[in-house]
Amino acid sequence: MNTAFHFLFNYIFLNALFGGAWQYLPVILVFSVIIDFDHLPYIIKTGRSVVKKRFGAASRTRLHEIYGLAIFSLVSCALYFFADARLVAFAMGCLALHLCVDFLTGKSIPFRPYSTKEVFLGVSPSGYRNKMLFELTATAILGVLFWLQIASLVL
Amino acid sequence: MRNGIDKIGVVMPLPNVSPNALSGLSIVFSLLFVLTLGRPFVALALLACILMFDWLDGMVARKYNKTSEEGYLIDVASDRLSEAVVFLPFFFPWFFLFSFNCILALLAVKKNKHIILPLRHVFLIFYAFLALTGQA
Repeated sequence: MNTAFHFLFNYIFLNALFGGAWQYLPVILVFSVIIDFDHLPYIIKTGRSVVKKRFGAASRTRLHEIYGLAIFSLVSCALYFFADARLVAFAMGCLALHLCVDFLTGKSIPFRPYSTKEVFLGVSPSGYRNKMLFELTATAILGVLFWLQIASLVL
Repeated sequence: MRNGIDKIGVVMPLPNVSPNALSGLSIVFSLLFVLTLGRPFVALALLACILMFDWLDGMVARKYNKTSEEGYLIDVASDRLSEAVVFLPFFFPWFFLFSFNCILALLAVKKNKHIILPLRHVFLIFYAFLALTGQA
């Protein structure tokens, strides 16, 4: 899924779960996006054809899979006693939800580097056109929901 | 234990659906579970559904000969992602145990030995106690 979807989904979900997500907006923004920085070497390597190839399982590192989830959860557990517990929960929530969405909607290699088997749940559209349509529609719907939530706070 | 479960699977009328889709449903239901924590009995029912999907995916795969390495990896990965979501609002001590379980899952794939803790099953008993005593 695209970065905008991850941010919007995480904000709306964590707001429904914990409430007061507005106060943690920068945290949600940073931790929703940060995992996707592992695509950078792939983008540099692939060049312009990245638009057509998109970001499949090959574009991710081990941090974008269960290995990353293990590391992030261990770090968050260590920080839980020293930092703001709510902030840690929001940050970890963003990372976990990001991995859940990517696992549900695309191909992944969940146990990299111990297994190189690529898996796909097959519950979301797989063709390029259908996937793009699904992504754009879902992002637009979440965008409207996010705007409504922000508008209700401001007005 | 596994033989007993297989026998139940043969006798029970199970739908011929994709076991991977059932694994995916356990993640979706985990997302719904944490959003319904304000209604403990609804949340409890959803938690039971999560465990039922976890149980069903293996049974369906075995009954219709759909077992594969891909299916096993999807099952273990979706279980960990489901745990990550379920334990998020119950950070201490459940999320700590989940971190340990993540390492066990990685070791299970690396060493080819299934040595993962049934955390959500224990949590179901814990949460049922909380719901029944009005502490949830």
